[in-house]
Amino acid sequence: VSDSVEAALLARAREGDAAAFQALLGPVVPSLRRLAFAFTGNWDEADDLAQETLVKAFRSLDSFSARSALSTWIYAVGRSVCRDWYRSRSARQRRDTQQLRESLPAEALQQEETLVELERSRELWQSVQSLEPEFRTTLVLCDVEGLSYSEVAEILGVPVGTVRSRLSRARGRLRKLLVREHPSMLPREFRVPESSPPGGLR
Amino acid sequence: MKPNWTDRQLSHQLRRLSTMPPNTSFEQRLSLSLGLAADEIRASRLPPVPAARTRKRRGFLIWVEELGKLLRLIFAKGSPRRARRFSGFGRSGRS
Repeated sequence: VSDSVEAALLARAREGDAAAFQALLGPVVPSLRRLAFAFTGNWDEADDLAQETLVKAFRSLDSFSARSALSTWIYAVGRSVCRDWYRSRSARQRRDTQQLRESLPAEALQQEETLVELERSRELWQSVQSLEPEFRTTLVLCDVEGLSYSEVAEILGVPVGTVRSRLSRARGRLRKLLVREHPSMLPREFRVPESSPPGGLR
Repeated sequence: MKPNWTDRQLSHQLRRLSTMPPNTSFEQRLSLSLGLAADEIRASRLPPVPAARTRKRRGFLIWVEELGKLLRLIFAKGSPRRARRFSGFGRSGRS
């Protein structure tokens, strides 16, 4: 979308044009849903959070100052909504949600190449959802959504160096989780070795 | 161990998660919610209802208006009473 078209859509959205708002943010919607899914662990609740994010952003569009990209601003709103949701849940509620975690949506079955791929995605999401919120957000924005360090720094309101260190620690923790819980996902050289043959070490 | 390669491997695996297809029912639900929010936004942009329409203020304005009429009646040059009193018309009429 060119700058002039985006500016026109933004002006219409600010006047309360829902279609213009959707046209502006359509491409970001799947990303917001995935970010929310990284918190909730099920798509129904993730969609609730994504919807809450978008409606909140639509209502407070006047506060968007255009100093950053609109997508960056909406990610920041989404992150705030997800954080509030996370904080509003007790540890027990979060554990229950994890236990009730759904598999991927039915339509994904038609898109994924194989059931193995589907299972891998499910396992990977489970591991991501086990990380602490700040690591989870950083990992999803950087590695799943492919945003740059500077974009993620702006969304999270932290320096770029913090994003780098959080990402590094998030990957380290994720690697450990995968090795421990889903060893089949990693290359052979990183898997936990099978029980060593007796007398194998000399 | 090749930590850099592992990071790449992880990133590659994680990037695959971004191919999740959108759920069409979500888009419909979102349209409905945004439509409701749009109504509220448009309603908030309408010019405010004149304050004089509120009962108290309207009552006050009526009172001020009546007071104004009275004052005009008392002090206006052309009021009938003042005219009668100062024009000398009455006296000259009686004389």
